[in-house]
Amino acid sequence: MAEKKPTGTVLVAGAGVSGIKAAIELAEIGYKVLLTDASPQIGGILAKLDNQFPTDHCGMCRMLPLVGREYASQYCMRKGLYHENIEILPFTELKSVEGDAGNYTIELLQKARYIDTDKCNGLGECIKVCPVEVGDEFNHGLTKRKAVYKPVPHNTPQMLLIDMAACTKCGECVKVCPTNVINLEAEDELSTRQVHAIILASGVKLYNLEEFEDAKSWAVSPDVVSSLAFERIISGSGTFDGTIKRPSDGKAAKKIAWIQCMGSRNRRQKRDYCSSICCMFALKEAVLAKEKGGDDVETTIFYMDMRTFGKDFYQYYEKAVDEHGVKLIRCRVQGVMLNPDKSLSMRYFDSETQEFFVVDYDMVVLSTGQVPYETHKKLADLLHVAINAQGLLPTDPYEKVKLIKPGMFLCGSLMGLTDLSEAISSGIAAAGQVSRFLSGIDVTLLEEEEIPEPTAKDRDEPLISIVLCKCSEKAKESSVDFNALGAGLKKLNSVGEVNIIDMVCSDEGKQTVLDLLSKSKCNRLLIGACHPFMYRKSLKNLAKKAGFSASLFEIIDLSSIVHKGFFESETKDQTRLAYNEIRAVIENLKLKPALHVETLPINPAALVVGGGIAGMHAAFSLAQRGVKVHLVEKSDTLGGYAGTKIEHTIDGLTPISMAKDLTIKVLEHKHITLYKNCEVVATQGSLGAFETKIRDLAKEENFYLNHGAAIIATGGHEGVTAEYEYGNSDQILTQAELKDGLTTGEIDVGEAETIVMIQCVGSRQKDGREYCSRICCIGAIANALTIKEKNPEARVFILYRDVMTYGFAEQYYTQARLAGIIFVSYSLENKPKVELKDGSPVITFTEPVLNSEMQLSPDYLILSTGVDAEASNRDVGKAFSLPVNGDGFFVEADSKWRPVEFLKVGLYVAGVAHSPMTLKDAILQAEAAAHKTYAYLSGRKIHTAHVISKVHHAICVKCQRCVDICPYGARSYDEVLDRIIVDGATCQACGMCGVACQNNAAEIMGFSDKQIMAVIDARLYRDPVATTAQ
Amino acid sequence: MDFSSSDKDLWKQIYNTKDLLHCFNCSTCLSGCPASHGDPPLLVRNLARMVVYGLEEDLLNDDTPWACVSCSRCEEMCPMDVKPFEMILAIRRWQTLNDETRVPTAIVEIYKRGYTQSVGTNTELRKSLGLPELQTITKMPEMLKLYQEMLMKTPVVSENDYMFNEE
Amino acid sequence: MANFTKLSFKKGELNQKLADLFKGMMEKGVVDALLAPMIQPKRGVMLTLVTDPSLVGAIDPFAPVVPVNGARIASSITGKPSGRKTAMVLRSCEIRALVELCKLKQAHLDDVLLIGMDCLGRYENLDFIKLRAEGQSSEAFIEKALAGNTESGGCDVSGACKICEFPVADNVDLRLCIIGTGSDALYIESLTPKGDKALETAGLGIGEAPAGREAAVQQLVKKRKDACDAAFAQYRESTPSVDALEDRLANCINCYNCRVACPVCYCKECVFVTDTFRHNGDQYMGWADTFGTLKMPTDTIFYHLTRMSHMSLFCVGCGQCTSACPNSIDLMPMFKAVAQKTQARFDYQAGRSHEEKQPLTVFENDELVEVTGQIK
Repeated sequence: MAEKKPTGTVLVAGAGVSGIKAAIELAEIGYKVLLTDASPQIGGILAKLDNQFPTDHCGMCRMLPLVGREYASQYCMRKGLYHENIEILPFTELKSVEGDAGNYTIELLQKARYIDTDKCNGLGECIKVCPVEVGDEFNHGLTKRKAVYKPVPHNTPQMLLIDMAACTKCGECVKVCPTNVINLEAEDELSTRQVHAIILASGVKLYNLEEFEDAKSWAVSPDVVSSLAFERIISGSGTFDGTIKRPSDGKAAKKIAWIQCMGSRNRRQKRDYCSSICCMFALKEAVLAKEKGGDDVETTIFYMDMRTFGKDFYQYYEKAVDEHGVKLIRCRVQGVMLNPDKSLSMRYFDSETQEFFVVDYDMVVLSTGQVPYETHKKLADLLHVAINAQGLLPTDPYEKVKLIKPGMFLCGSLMGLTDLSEAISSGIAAAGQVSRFLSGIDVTLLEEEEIPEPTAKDRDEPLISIVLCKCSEKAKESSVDFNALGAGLKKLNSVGEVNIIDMVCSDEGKQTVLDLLSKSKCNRLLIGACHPFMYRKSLKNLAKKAGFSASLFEIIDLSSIVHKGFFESETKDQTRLAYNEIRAVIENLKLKPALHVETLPINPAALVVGGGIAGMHAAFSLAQRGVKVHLVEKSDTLGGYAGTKIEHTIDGLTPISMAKDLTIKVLEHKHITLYKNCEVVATQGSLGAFETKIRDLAKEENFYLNHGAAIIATGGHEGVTAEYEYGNSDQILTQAELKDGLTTGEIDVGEAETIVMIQCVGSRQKDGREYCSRICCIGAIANALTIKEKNPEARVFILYRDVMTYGFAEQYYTQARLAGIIFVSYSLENKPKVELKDGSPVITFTEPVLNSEMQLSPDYLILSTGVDAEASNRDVGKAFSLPVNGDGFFVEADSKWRPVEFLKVGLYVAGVAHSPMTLKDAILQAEAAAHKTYAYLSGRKIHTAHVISKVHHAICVKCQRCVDICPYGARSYDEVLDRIIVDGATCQACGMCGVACQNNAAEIMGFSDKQIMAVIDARLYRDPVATTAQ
Repeated sequence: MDFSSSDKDLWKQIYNTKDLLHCFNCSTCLSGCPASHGDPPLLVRNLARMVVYGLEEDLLNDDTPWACVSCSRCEEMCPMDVKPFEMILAIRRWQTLNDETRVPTAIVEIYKRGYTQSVGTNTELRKSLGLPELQTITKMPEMLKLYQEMLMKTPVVSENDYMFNEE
Repeated sequence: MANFTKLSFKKGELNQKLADLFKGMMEKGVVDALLAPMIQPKRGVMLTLVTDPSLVGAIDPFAPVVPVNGARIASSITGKPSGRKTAMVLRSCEIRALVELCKLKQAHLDDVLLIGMDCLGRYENLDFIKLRAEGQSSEAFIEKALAGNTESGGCDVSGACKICEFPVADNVDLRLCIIGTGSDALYIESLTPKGDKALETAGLGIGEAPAGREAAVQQLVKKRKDACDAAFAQYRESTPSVDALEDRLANCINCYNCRVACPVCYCKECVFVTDTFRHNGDQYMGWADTFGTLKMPTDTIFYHLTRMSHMSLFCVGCGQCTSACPNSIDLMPMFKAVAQKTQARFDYQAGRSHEEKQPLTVFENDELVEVTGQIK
């Protein structure tokens, strides 16, 4: 070891979900992360959303690492984020960036909060006394806050700050502050830091109509709200505790309308793109409105195209319409009018009846879209790069998260209009890119500062040391007599010592405790303090240092007892109450077993199934970081569908040649072993130790591969159809056939007068592909434009249901219309009819605008037949026992928060195997999947959690109810061993197995019935002669 | 109707601008258009389609463009900046160029009641907002008489008086 | 449709006939082994496993006694299957319990030819032995019972049997029918292809269903149902409160016999004999403090309620628990009455069919969304 290398340090600018995800991923593999955010809090937009579709629940916590979840020292992401490798700097702006790749000097401006949040106890005495009231931006001004306030009501610990703009400096708060951490004269701090890589995740603003002339026609009443404000209105922690009332007068809102494309798809406002999140956002809000407001709530969405392009989006749309009766009206309304009775009336035109309708609503929600550009310009200047033609940050053509400047990456909506799951995968992908980049330069990882787990003395007679912090004595509600309490507890069997000290949370306090405990003879520890969740981690380490193993240690929240005592009618005697509470904890502590973590044996090799572009990209990304990769491809060529069939794409990519280059890289890399003509037969094992049986189709023999993790990237191909006379005329082709024909010149459109394309052939319908294939609209437009190039005189009609040119692809839709391509929509109920007149197709359809029957006799009829999943997915799914959905795509662990993972830890998915997606998205996912894999194969120790479920084989009867019930698939029955096996990495200790098992053969360690019953007994304990505390 | 019979380049004759091609039938122009209250209603979006499709016949015989009251809300609100009002004028121009003898019925409306169309629709709202009832010339017979005599002096009316007098 | 074989017998020759039948079955290789109630050399009638055809002579399936619920026996024989074809002659309550044990993977019927028999009730063990000593034969019992009288010599069949709505066994391959078949004949009904095959190989012809049977069965079932409703009503009225429950269970001494006797209590080791319930001094003292006096042994009601929560969904009401109690606590009505409600709640009926999934082990599609975030 020569001189010490620097620790790899990464700046993540922007703490929305994508930034947080990137930060966690990097911190987990041992890099130091600076996580900044311009706002006073972290969490970005998601901090305001209680519910995300398709589950309509919050799932934020699923961003946290599942293996070693206990080390993330938290369970609820809505409360906040803590990670020893992440330095969180809210209210901090990136001022300047100098230097080059791998060595950046950055300036950070940390704005003054006027409150020292490290010392603040978050109880908010100051808020009570603050005289100033202003609108609370967290609830979009729907509620009021003080000048000193909690930026996110549900955060813990609370990160209070003072809004100097509003503050009158009356100083009341300073007087009452118990920890005196308020300094009204504090100033912003400028600091300089060294980082090796930078991830930009500052997101985009949402359209604010006040800034534009739309205000005139829309902002006519407080009952016209933005979709995000509505989210606060229905939120449980929001303005009306979850009941839907209209802001103007608090009357229940029963008729609610959503207006789509507010500030998007608007050429006049120079925003000719689709915000791409609003359609699902509105659908979700409409569904929630019904669920929370009752069935008598009527919800209507005014839209142009329902862009339900993502995975499961279409099913959600069907559910919203069929089950929840959400009404959809295809009409862009000009404005809203305020009626005398405060109701809001809107007038729309119904093409089917060719009639106008005027409808009154209680509330109107504006789907205000994402607004890029401005953010991009600013950042570009900061980074000394030029924005690209589209006014965005210049990125690698294939890798969305990679800035053209080395060592710089971006993720989240900054890439341009992403939805939640893409934000997450981009966060992971960016982290992956960073770790690839850092593995190439001279930096090290933080070595996990391991305080040796003290040898647990759980076999000795329990002897408990109790430490009580008496600071809560000061609280005016408090009437706890600590000396009496201590005396009472001391009398208890198996209580060795009771120490009462002041301010355990303070550094001096901690030191005192440490000194006391180091001398202690006891083998178990109980600390009573206020709001322990704020410093559970540090107390745990303190206990460890003093020689108490984490599993024989309990913290109890004294202040909440004080409050309970205050409210509980049954007893006003807080000392007694505290005594009983603590007694219960002691009973539990006495029975606690010492829990041990298991270090998993990790085989640092990965299996990648599928040699398409996604598969190859993932393989290469891993190999570059020194991971051994087995790449299995069932055909005899690499490249997959895109890499062998698609010459060029509308956005100027050339998949085939790209795949060729990638193939060479893969073949040449020493860490990658390629197995062509091979397919997966079966696999067994768990994270770190899988064994997979492979069949060599050419040699017709089987062999085995051992690997620590696997990525499924089996891809897909163009859909097939028998609809619309396909196959009965050589004038009827699929888009792919047309594309081939046009490139090879076999199809000559020079003479063609009319060409008709039909979209969604066999797609987005119950009995067919029940999803949007995502690429067909853009593909059709690409072909149509090529035709127009070759023959400007040709008339091209595209019959569509919804034009799915989401995000910046909208520009192609506009481009196509400008080229004279004519778009005509049709409905699922009334599809175009195609018949053959002497061999040539004749199409009849209803033109919806004029509502009249039309007919076309084109030279060519082109069908967009969508994307099908690989048929082999089902077998691969069986082999890995992974779920495959009705459409044949793999079912990921969580469509929003864990897009590239499976519930079974150690298995990942990328590309079209997941769902139809564009090449760039497939590459993004591949990068993300590769990183998730790398995180386990990087060589660092992987432990199971302390608390996981175990099997007591001696009394297990193998009825396998636990196997059926386990929601994570962490349990299985091994026929050879005739045993129930628990996958310790996958088990999340949810406790289902414990419920199903009747004689506790399945048990969550540390939560035995014996403990629980002991606690119950203690809580019910009544002292015959009330001598305890006296 | 069969598109093959339609004239794909008609739009170049009528309103030769890329703005028109931007139209994606979002209906913004319709939903707030005052003339859309008329009978038959002026349906700007539909006219735009007809132009794009090149439905010459239907367009020639369509009188609704003349019902436009030039408020140009459509112009203000159109997200694709199609400039629908310009298009309406263009259609009027094209119609007259293709038929000098054309007398749009809208003029008859003006002659009869001083407006291209009935303005009754808003009386309820006006009441509820406490606005005075709208004074229309039809409520003042003698004024109307003078007004019509005045119009009768203009050639387009006098030369086609047969259209105005029969009632 | 109906597949019946008539087996006429002269008075006193029923068992002989049945012995011949099974002997033939085994010789013709329909099965390799037979599990059926047989007269024991010393005393009583017990389920007995025979692999030698020449030894089936002692068979006496209709003997009105069930010392152990046969589901337990079947489970021990097939839990780890031998692979040998075995005919098992069991009663409805035993078969229904067996169905549940199969779902719990504690028994496997692949190699089993399941033969159910009409059941007119069983006597408590000691009563039966007494009656036998007095010379009562199975045939005599059948005759009396069919006439509607099961009381004899001061003894009567168990309470469970009196209120059992399942005198006829379902989910079987073959059925030995004696209800409504006339006093001189037994009918063998085949209900499955397996059963048909067995009869065929055994060289038994196919005939018509006995005329009176259906009506007779319905009548009996009705009678039992009414008795059952009455019993439930009576039980619920007599046990309206926890106090009343304590009263009912007052004599429990934690011998756990009821659990051992229960055919669906399938745990290898009951949680109540594990450390979970091995308390320390502190705890006993704590309870004494809290309640003033502490009756020993403790956890008696807790035990019964826990057991109920574990098996009431599978309870078939065989009444073995009552029979097993040394302190004659009549547990059967309590468990059966609760089971009726819990099973109804899930629209489930223990032993009704092999296909019905046991409640609380299966999930609705999106039932676990909050846990996993996955909607399949």
